[in-house]
Amino acid sequence: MSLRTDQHRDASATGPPDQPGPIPGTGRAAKASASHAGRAPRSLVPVAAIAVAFLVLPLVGLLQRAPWSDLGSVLRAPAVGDALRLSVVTASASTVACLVLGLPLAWVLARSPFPGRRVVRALVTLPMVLPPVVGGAALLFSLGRRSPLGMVLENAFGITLPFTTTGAILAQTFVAMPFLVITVEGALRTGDRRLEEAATTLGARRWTVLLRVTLPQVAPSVLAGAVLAWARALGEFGATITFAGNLQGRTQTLPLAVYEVLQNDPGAAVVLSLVLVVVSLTVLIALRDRWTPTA
Amino acid sequence: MSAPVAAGLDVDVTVAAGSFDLQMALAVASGEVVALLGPNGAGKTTALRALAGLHRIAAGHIALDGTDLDRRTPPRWVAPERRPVAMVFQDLRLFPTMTARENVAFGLRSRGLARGQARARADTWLGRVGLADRAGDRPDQLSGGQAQRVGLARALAIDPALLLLDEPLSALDVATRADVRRELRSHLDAFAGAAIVVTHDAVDALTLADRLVVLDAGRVVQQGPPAEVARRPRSAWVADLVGVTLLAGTAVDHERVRTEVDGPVLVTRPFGAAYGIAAGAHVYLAVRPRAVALYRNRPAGSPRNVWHSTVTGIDAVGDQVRVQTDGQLPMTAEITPAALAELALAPGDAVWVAIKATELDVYPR
Repeated sequence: MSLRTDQHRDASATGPPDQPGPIPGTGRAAKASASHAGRAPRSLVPVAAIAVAFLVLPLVGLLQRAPWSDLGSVLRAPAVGDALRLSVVTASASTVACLVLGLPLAWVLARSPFPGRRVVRALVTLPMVLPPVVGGAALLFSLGRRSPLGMVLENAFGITLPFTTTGAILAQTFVAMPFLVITVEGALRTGDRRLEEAATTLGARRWTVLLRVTLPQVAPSVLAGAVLAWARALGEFGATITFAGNLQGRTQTLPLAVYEVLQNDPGAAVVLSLVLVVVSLTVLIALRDRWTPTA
Repeated sequence: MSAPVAAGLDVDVTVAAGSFDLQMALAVASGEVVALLGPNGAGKTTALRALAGLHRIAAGHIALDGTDLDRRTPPRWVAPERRPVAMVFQDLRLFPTMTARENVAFGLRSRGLARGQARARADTWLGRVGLADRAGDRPDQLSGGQAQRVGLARALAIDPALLLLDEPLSALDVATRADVRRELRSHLDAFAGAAIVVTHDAVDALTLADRLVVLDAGRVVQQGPPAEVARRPRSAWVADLVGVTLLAGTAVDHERVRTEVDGPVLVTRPFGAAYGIAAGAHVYLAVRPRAVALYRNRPAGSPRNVWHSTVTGIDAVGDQVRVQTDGQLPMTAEITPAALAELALAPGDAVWVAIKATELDVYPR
């Protein structure tokens, strides 16, 4: 008996039959010619240069005004140390809060269809576009000492939130959580479900699949979301000052300290600003693979 | 074969699969290996997914060892993670963050085995597939053949009552493929449960399976022992797969068939009422390319089916040469390279095609 299998074998050797192989002419050459065809008109270049200058110039100004010789003494000032320590503590605490609350939320939004899911998703991401000062005011009206909820918290549990460090963490969490949620939810929604199916056929229950298969798979996105949330919390100003005030050592984070010393001690404000710039750059570099794809 | 069996798989389902419905009745006894064959989009993978519980059926039932896994009336549903079913995926789907040992132990751990026991069992299975020394490697450190073996070990380790293999060898290169096929055959021989192998490779199907089931457009178009299916294909796809030319026709008398539509009458091996074929019956003729002879000049003597044709193509297949011809009937002939040289054929050349009557097997359509 003769068998005609070589052709089939050849056909399948290039990959599973459901995945079409590369189409000739769509390789690197085609890509290069496409990018050439889509190149920007030359007259746009000067405008783009102005835009770059506009974005970079303030940083240059900051560097130029920096009191390099006094750097050490400014950084050692008690108010600066307090602000730095408080910023790191509150941003980290709010990142933890974002993870604890935001991961389940991202999971439910991505994986549990329910009526009104789109509305919930829109509401959850609202703090990203809401002016932070509005968020702070909203927190004050909902959790302030005169609000119904605030009174319950204070009378029943002795918890006061406004103008406390916890309040600052709360304000930062409010503003930062959407960054974590949308990053993780996006990864979960577009992510590959094939490994989860494989785990299910091997007998894994939902929790096992979640912890041992899905979480490791979306771990890079969770990390990116956490770093973004941390950076956003670190830079938070409007919601914090509105809800938690500007008390040194308790609610005065770095951005608030910058704002306060700007009037009397511009040099110190510059130093604190540079600290924030360095942190931001570090975050950007840490996330470079996600946000600036090297094409 | 459609009678329900106590030990094994009993399936009679309709599954909605996008643009078509899959309708399949199938019984697989424990210890039996069935190959599910068919062209792309025939519903093979859909069938496996329904059996694994990754796709709900629209009607009918899936029962394994007498227990319903999925049934519409009365409703029964066993979630995929609770089914005694293991699947080897076409793309393997090994967990990239886990070692080979952790991959194999995963199913055992999920089924409640203690960590140490699961690892020991995983190591045993890795040993059986010849990968005892690669237990600590992650999937990206393994070759294609090794990854395939880990996927098989991971599925077999949970001791399933039903093993599903989706194109288990298609991702492998030719050399590895032969090795893994041979190993897979011995693992399937040792496997106590029912097994279904989806493939579109004739060698895989014929060497791995006890029985072939051919699907086309969501329907079972043929099933039977591999030799029977290969000898008497009932669809152009299977005929092409096993390398024979399939002709449809109508019986004229006890040894002649008129080919469709209004084609030449071929003289065949005698058949007739004894074979359940009366004059006027619709029949198939399977022509093996090796039974087709080519001549430069009209042959004299025994062959009774002779016609004039034109060579349309010449391909090397293994150590033989296949010559496609088109004339009264399109026909493929398989000859030796020496014969080709002697005939000095090239596409476009005129040629005489001859087939002995005794080489033409007739069977009901």
